[in-house]
Amino acid sequence: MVESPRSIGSIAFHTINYSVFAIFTLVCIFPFYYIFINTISDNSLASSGQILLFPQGIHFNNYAEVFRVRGLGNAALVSTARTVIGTALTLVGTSFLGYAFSRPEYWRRKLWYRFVIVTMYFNAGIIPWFVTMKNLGMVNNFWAYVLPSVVAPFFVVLFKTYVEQIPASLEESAQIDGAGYGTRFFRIVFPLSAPILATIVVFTSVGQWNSFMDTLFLIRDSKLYTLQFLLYQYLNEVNAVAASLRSSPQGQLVDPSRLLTATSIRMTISIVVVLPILFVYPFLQRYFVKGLLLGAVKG
Amino acid sequence: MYKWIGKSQAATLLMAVAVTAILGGCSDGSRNGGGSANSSTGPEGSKPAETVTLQVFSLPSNTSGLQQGWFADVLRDQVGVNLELLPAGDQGEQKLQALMAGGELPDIVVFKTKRQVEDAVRAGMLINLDDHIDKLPNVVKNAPAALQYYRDAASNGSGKAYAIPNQVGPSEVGATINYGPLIRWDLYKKLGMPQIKELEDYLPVLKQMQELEPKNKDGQKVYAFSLWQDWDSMQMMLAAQPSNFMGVDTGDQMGGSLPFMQVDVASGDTMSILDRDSQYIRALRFYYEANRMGLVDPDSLTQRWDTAVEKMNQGRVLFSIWPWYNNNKKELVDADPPTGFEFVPFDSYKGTWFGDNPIGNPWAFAISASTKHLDAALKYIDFMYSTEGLQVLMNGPKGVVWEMNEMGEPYITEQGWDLIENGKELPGGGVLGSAVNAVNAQGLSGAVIHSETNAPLNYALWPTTINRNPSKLSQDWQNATGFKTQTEMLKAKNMYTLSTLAMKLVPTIPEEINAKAARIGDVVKTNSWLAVFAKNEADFDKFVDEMASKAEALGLREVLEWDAAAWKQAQEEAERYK
Amino acid sequence: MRESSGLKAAGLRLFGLSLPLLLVVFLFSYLPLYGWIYAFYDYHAGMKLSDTEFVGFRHFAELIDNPVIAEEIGRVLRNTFAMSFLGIAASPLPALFAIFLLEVRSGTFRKLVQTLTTLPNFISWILVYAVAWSVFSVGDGFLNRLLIKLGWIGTEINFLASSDHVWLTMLGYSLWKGLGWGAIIFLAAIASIDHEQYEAATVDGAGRFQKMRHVTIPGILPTFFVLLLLSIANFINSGMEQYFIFQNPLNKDKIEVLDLYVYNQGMVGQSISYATVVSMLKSLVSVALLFVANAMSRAVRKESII
Repeated sequence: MVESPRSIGSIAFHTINYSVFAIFTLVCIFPFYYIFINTISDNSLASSGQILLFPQGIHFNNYAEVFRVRGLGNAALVSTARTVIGTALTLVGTSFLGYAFSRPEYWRRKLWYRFVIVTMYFNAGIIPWFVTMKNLGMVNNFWAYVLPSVVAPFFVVLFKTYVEQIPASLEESAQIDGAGYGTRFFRIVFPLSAPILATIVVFTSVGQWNSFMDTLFLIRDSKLYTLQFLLYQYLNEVNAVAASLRSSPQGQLVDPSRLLTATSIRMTISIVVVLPILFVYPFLQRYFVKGLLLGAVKG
Repeated sequence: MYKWIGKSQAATLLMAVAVTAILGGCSDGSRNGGGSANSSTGPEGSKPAETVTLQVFSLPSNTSGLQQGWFADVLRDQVGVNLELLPAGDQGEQKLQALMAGGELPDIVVFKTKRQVEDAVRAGMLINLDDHIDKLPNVVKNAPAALQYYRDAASNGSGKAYAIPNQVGPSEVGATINYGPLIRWDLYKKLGMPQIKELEDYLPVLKQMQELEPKNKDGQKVYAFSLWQDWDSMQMMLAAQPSNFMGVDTGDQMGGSLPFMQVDVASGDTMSILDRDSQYIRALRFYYEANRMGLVDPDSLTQRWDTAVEKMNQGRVLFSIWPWYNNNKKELVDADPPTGFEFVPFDSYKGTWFGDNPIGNPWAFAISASTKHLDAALKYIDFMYSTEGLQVLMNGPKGVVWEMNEMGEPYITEQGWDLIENGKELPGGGVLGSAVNAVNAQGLSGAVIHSETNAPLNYALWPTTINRNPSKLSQDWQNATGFKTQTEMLKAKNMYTLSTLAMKLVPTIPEEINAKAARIGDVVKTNSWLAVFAKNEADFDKFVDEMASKAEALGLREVLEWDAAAWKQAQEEAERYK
Repeated sequence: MRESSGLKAAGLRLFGLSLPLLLVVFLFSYLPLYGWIYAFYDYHAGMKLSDTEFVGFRHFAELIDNPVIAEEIGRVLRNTFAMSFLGIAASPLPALFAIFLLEVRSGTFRKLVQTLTTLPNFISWILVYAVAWSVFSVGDGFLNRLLIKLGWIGTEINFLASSDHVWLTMLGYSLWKGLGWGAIIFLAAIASIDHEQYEAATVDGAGRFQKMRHVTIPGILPTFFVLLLLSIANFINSGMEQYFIFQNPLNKDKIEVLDLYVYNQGMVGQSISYATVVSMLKSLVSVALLFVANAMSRAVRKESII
């Protein structure tokens, strides 16, 4: 994009712009940094709140302990599979539905569109949800991770809004050529929607990666545990061990520091779970550059 | 044109689909029965031919997955079962309801409350244990009163036992009772061990102690009290503690079963905790005065339990309510001079001493009506009520952690202490505590005597453990007081109150009363803290009065009426199950 | 005539293609709604509905049968309203974030900012509190220690316990956590604006801000409004976790929103029927708000979103 010549106004603008973003970014990073240095610092220093700017007594035991959790490798695999497959399914399902609803000729469009949107605002409760899942055979089944979220109503809305801004001429020419809906969608609309698709990918994959409530209620087979769930369980266990020491006569026989519930473990788990996301997101950023697509395709 | 799904992405998708297929296939078929059919082959008393995998849903527990390690080996060898624990997490209650709504429970369930048992019985989800009582000889031998109690009270009127309470047996008291208070012994001695007549007399002493040590070695401020809100459910939990020093319960033990009722555990007298002269209000005032004197950590309002423990560990707290809550690290209590916490009662102290418990605690074992491994389940449960079984689970196999000495007493070996204190793993995998932590429930109390060792099951109660090398600090305390342990002192001076069985026999609270209590609890919680941190006497009174009046408006009277009737019933029943 | 029947056939075909997806929505979102029947019974888990007692609207009445409760609900709704309103008032911020971020010339800096500002979204509220604690607590908090060292205050301030400015503080945390993440949608929206429009504007001699006003903002306006309307419908669901973590006796009267209040009251955790009643009522309010917002949008902008 062509930049206006370097005027005072331009320099001032850029200075302010850069500064504001720099400051905000620092504010965003600092807590993350704080958590990170606490996980690699001596645990007792960390828990007494003395680690603020620089790590002290550096060690990696916290990570070593977390990585020793049984079943971690398998859980990571499950989480990855779920994220990849779930995101792919949601991507296709949600965008197609958004496209379909954007077509005015869709049969009873208003009705069905509302049918989908309204589901964002009600929630029947965990127990009916569980019974339904059970009756649908979704208990202890990998499909329970990826099927229910195939349609993400929020993104159906966004995708539809987006599609409605694409000039109709593009699609009509294909229609005149006799292309069916499937072709029109996959060949024309889908490729043009890079930014919104990338958005769906980002949000959905993070959602898949982070979820664990479904594992908690639906899964019995430990081979289907996800990473988040496994670590959530591990954290609970550590807390519980400390709690049970408290209430038994044996509590007085152990070193008091064994009663510490593990904030450092919680922090370590947070970092471990977030890192993969941080590696993936930058790859998707190239789709968020201004004014890229339509021009290129139309030309 | 770069948004079409490229080749590499397609390849990834394909791979992912393949992985799904594999995982999807894995999830069917291989559950419920691990590697085998059921276990009832083989003659009576011998090892079953194959191991059965039992699915266990234990609400008090936080472990999950197929259990492995030394105790899993023990269970396999002696009982023929593998335990697969389903996660309960902190949504245990919800998950239980979901499972019940779904129509079936896992093989074994450990419930957390009597009401949960009642719900399950009413829904027909549990096996009638009386039909198979011949397969539960240890339960019958060691927990008869508990069985009977659940026959009467948790059977939906049928008079049959569907679940068995746990921790049945004599009072599990060794060197200490459940309550202190403990204070920094070294500082107390420096002050010349001034006399402390009443609860409130701790405050000036603590103030002087704070002046002796206003900062810890890292330069951080020291307070007498550092509080937390995490444990509050229907009242300020920490304000319900001091009454236990006087043998009165203001919610610590019975806050859930008799909301807002203060109970004298010996005489059975009751009053509302919101009355001006209750021990609960007295405790609020105690903390309020302490705060006015600068003895309370101002972060108490906003910190979590974790942080409070950390502060204790850093030596920033001078007063402890419970014996296990202290800073008695090895290097401190054996230093020269030693520092740490020891028991220092006030003159009129009458701490609550938990009595024998023939009817157990509500964490009850039950078997699902839809189990396919009834015999294995029965065997496992019976094992959890047998002294032989619990001896191994709580102490590890003989020769690993403990041995018998020449006088016929069990003792923990040096190697054993190493394993315990440093959290090391036993041969076979898993630390000592992993056995008990797995299901987090044991049929019998740790004080039940094992016939062979003639000692309690719980090694913390063994005389050899109690008399083990006392630290310099303990020796100092022992010399100053003339007693070896807190319990010895309390017994000798008759400074304790034995709790009555009635405390365990309160009937289940009905939902409408519970709902009212929950609402009132919200008000009580908030106002209690506001009162403690009030800036002056007038504000303190204002918050306390407001608490009482709001509670009245929300139906306190009804709750208390129910409480009174329920307590009366409990007292009557106590006679029956003695 | 033939035109419209051809169109109708096409419409049906499209419907047919999307049928599996609609089925998924039905199975996983509508089927569980049978559970709403629990609100009218005295239901306990595991029992067959036929065995439980039908109580009609009793549970609904119990929610508000007490004058103290009515007063509390008023207070709680005020808090919910305030928080939701502030949230909605702040809704242009992610859009502005995106707009100005794309003005940054350096691609590296931009990508860095984009990625790093999403980090707070991944930190759970429990940990956010732990970090806030380390900065704001009285005894060891960084801020207090700094202010005392600089001599600006005499004794520490209890930031976390104070009831002043609670709504703004909570908004602050929400923004910190959600701004970078929420901007993603607008980055996508801006990326999809036709390049030619910018070129035309440049040719016309438009400066930076004029381009924003005449190209960028109109380009993302549809997206913005859609998001706005959707969040209006979400007015009553201000979430719970954040407020639960930060709540304490001193700030309770301002921080307690509806969801947190319901949780604190404890009834929801104990009775399935109560929980269902609350959930049902909230759903009805949300759906009603959605249609109201839609009607307003139609009246004002001549466009409806649904």
